[in-house]
Amino acid sequence: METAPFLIEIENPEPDTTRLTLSGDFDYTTSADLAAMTPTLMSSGLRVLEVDLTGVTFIDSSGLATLIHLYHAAEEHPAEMRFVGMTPYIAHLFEVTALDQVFNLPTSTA
Amino acid sequence: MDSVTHAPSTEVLRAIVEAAADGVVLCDADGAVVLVNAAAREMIPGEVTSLLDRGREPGETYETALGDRLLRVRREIFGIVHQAWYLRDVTNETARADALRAERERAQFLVEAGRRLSASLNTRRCARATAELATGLLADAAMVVLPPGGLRRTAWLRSSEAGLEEGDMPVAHADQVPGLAEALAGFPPVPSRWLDPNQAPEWLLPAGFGPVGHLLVTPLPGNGVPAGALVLARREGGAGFDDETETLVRVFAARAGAAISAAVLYQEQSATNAILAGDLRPPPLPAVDGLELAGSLRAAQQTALIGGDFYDVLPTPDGPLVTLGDVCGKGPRAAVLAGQVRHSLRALLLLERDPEQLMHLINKALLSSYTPRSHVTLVLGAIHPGEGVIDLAVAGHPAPLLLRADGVVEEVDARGTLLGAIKSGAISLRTVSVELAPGDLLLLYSDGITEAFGGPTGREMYGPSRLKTALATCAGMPATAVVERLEQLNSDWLAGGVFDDRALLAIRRSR
Repeated sequence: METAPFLIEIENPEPDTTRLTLSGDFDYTTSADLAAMTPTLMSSGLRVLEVDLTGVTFIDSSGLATLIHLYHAAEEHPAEMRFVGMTPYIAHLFEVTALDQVFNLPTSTA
Repeated sequence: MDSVTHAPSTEVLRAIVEAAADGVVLCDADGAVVLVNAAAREMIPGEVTSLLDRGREPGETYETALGDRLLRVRREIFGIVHQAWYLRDVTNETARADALRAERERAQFLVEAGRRLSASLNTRRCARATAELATGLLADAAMVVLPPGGLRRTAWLRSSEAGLEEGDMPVAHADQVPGLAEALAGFPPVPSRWLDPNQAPEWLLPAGFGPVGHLLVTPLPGNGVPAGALVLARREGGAGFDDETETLVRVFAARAGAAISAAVLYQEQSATNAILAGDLRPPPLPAVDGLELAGSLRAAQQTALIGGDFYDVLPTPDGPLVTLGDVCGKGPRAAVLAGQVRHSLRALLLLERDPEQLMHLINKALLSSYTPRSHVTLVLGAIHPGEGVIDLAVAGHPAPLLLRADGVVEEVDARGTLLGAIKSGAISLRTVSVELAPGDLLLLYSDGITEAFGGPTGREMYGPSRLKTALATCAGMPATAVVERLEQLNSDWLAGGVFDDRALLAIRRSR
């Protein structure tokens, strides 16, 4: 099975805001990239962490675990982590795992 | 103009013959030597006639040894009186050809060695290939002593005309063979001429081998660790190990050592994986009055991708508890975590049978785990066999599906948070009790089923709706047949593609 490459884009739309745009297959083989990046994302000025999952084609349990890890890291920092975009597939996945009740999801798809 | 031709005089002809690079010897009809040119005199310092074989046909070429030289000789007849022998010293030419042939033989040997050694990841087969390859070109008998690995005895394999023999020996006996203990410790080899073949103990060689003339002991270097040693023996009277051979043996030993150590590592790892995966094997299902149970568990093909799908049916005095879960991640860590969750459940079940309470307890246990990311998705169902009622709790897992006897498929309305994930320890659960009428079936499954990529494009997910459609076609079937059919349809979808772990557990009320 050929997989869509996993990409992470980082932008700073505001001085205290970091936006992560993830795309591709976010799974056991690729989730380590984001996990490794998590500590450096928590810069001193960070107040808001936006995560865009619109381009993510697949998430497995390792990908979910990495998002949970990121959520906890933001909570401890403290910064507010919110999801700003996702597909119905991911919204369903968050619903099955009841993470929709934990995560800050966009109102349109949640 | 006149053109004048001059026939050469005898003196001129003699001078031409004298100056030729090839040796020329001319005899008369009686065989008496009438002429020997300078080149021939240089080649043959002494008596000439013994080299001249009169039995040869005219024009025939033959080779003959003279001291340490090799001469190529051709006999020719001129007229009825004279016969001539042309001589050429081909010693160097032949030596070059021999050297080339030997070099080709060595290269061929290494190619064959590479081919045979890479064909297996089994330690014994690699050692056997090493011993067998070394017999013949390198030695009359070859013994591979495998690395002791901290044990008191170590295995060996030996190849000779007597065939392949194998056994084991106390590691301490390595001291009896000159150079063997050092080779097993990974020290560089010493030249064969420093090893006294008379010191070779009897056990080193096959029965009836005879006296040893030459011994060569070479370490088999592994990946940073010694991978054993290669002992080569040649019989008394045979050629010794020259420098070329010792170099060849060292190159060969490096290849063999790499192959053997890779095999040792592979076997250690697959033994570990087998132990870990053993915990993930589908358990035997108990017979429950009034219910049919059927399960199927397929682990991902690659051992490094051992996943964490599992299911269990655990009997309690009030009726069985069914569980199906999936732990986060892959590989040995996932296997260990799955084992921990299953054992925790078994222990907790002695005190608590309510699925909702069990979920909270397991969540707390996972959150206090030392291993980061101990996330688990789980379905728990407490069965009341007499009434056909199942109390269900679902945590982070796809909700089970209900197949009614008339073919209608419903998704059970239960949801809950992934276990071991949210640090605050708060999980929300919406539990439900489902009632199975006779012929109804409850299906628990893992996301390996719905997230199987395949179909016409190979990139499409199987998805929950295809599973529901497939399940709807199973009305009236026994539980075992339902599980087999769903697995078959899922495999067809994958069409040979890579699959994740997948688990199915069906509970059908038979009456």
